[in-house]
Amino acid sequence: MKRSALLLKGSSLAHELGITALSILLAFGISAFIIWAAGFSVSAVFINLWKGAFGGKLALGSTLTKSTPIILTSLSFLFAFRAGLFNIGAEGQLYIGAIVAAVVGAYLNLPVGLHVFVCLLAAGLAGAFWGWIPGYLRAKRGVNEFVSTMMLSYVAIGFTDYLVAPRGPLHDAKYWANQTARIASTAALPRIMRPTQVSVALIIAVFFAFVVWYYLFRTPAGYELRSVGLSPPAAEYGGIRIERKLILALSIAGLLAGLAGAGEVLGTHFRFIGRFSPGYGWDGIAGGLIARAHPIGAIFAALLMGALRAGGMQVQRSGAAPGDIAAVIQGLVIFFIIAPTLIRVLIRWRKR
Amino acid sequence: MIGTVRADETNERELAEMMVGRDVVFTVRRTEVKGAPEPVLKVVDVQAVDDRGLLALKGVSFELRKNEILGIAGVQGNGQAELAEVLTGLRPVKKGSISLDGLELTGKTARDFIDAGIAHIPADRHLRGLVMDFTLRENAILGRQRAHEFAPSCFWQDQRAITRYTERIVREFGVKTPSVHVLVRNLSGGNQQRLIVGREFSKGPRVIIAAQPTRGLDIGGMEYVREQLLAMRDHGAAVLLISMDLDEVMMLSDRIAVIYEGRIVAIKDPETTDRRELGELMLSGSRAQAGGEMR
Repeated sequence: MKRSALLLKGSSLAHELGITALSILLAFGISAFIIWAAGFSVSAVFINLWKGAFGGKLALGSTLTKSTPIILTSLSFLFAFRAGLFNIGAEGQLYIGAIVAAVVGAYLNLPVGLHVFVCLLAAGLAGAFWGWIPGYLRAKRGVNEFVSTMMLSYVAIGFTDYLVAPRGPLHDAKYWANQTARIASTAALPRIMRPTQVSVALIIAVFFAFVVWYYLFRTPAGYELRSVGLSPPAAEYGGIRIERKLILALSIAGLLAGLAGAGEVLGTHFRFIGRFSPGYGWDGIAGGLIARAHPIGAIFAALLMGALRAGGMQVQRSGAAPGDIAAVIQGLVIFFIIAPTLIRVLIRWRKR
Repeated sequence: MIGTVRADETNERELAEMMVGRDVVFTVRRTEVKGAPEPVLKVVDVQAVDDRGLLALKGVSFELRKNEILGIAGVQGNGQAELAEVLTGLRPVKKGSISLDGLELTGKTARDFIDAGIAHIPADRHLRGLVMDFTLRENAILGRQRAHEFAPSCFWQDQRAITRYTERIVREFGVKTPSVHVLVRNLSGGNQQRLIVGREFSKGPRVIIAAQPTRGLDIGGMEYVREQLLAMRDHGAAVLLISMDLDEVMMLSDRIAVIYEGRIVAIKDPETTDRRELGELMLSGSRAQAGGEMR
């Protein structure tokens, strides 16, 4: 709880943005040094990073497609974080949501419009259930959610992979790959930026960022959730049932991550593919931290993460450097974000 | 510089006056309340355990009346903290009962105690009384975040009403702050306490549980909080004052209950008792047995 309080310590918006921007700049600066030290061309890497992320419609589409699930997993992380909890399990909740969306999408016959809605709802609820388990264990039994959410992720990844593997109950017999049958066209989320894979899932994700913001900062329930995160004894004093809030927080976190999985199935792949996620759930942890647990900030943090992923692939393709350099930059950004004291010290040092 | 006095020629009262620059209410005027005492809060044989699971309240009984301040005198660690928590729903009752005007509160949640009209000035304002990283606005509604006034529905918080309400508390209770949008962490201890007192008194409470309400305050702040407690009493509130400061208890209370090892061992009239008698009760639980009890 103390750790989250440190990051959530309020200050002016301009100040927060300044620190975030400085962290990102520092991360890029140090990345440049690493690239140079490793013997690659700094300019070539950065040019390709930019080209892959924003250079043209296809690149932008790639960035947005990758950002979409990260927006939702970032929201998932920060929602629990606001209640003083660490949801490290967005990846698993995402897989659970994805498999349920795929099953409902492929095996249910429903009219256009309703079908996709039911898929999203079912996926959200399934993800919420996957978040509820560690929430319940934390509230009633004191089980550390950091560990339990992470462990449940591996359960979810392995379990869904089994379901779609050859001889698994949901395996599509037409192909050798670990995947389900294709979802019905009524269950698909429309593409909005052809020929890229950007779908309505992006709009849903951005919409949920605003919903989460409204919930946290404009409703009594959100107020209660934040007070539990900042000071459990004071929340208790204010007549708030802490246990309920902890369970709710992880359930909603699961719901948001479940929607991320549904968006991938319904908008990008049109089926569930075993181990399809390149780590969108884990990216949500970074996204939530970069956003400093602010829901609107999560949109931009996810864009940064998506851009690094898309750009990293271009760096790899161009041969300027291994694509892993994107992961290095990402890691450094997170490092500087969660070391705000370091940044503050630097600012003070400059002022002197 | 107000003045210099010789150490052997001055007294507490004179120094205090010079420090705050005006008369200090060290002896307060307590208006007499007419009519028979009306019991509001009834506490019957309440037992509760402390954080270590040891019995801290061993059968506490008393009644708290309208228009009175009942002071709890005692040496720290004799069950005062547990008593305050039990009477605000923050600590479960093991045995016994608590009722407010016939409304049974035994086993109810903190929420029910708040809704029944019990205000609480907690002993630890940083831990319990305030969310330090919330703004004044957010702290002003703590405990009443679901009140219709501030949340007309569960999907809507009335931001303007919260701001107006906070500004009123800041004005009426003299909280010194640049705005209601700053974090309470940035306020001085005295102003934090003024905010808590303002919040709790603005609820229009029937019962006030005031635990160490003036601890850590400067003389001006202390005086202010004491005046407010008396004002609430005069307006009909039933006040339970738990304080380690015996002078404060004697000065403000209509009746003084002495707590010793988890029991109320005596209830005294401040007019007829003195520090010596209270001190003996606080230290040994009884006057007659003082020194005779073997432990």
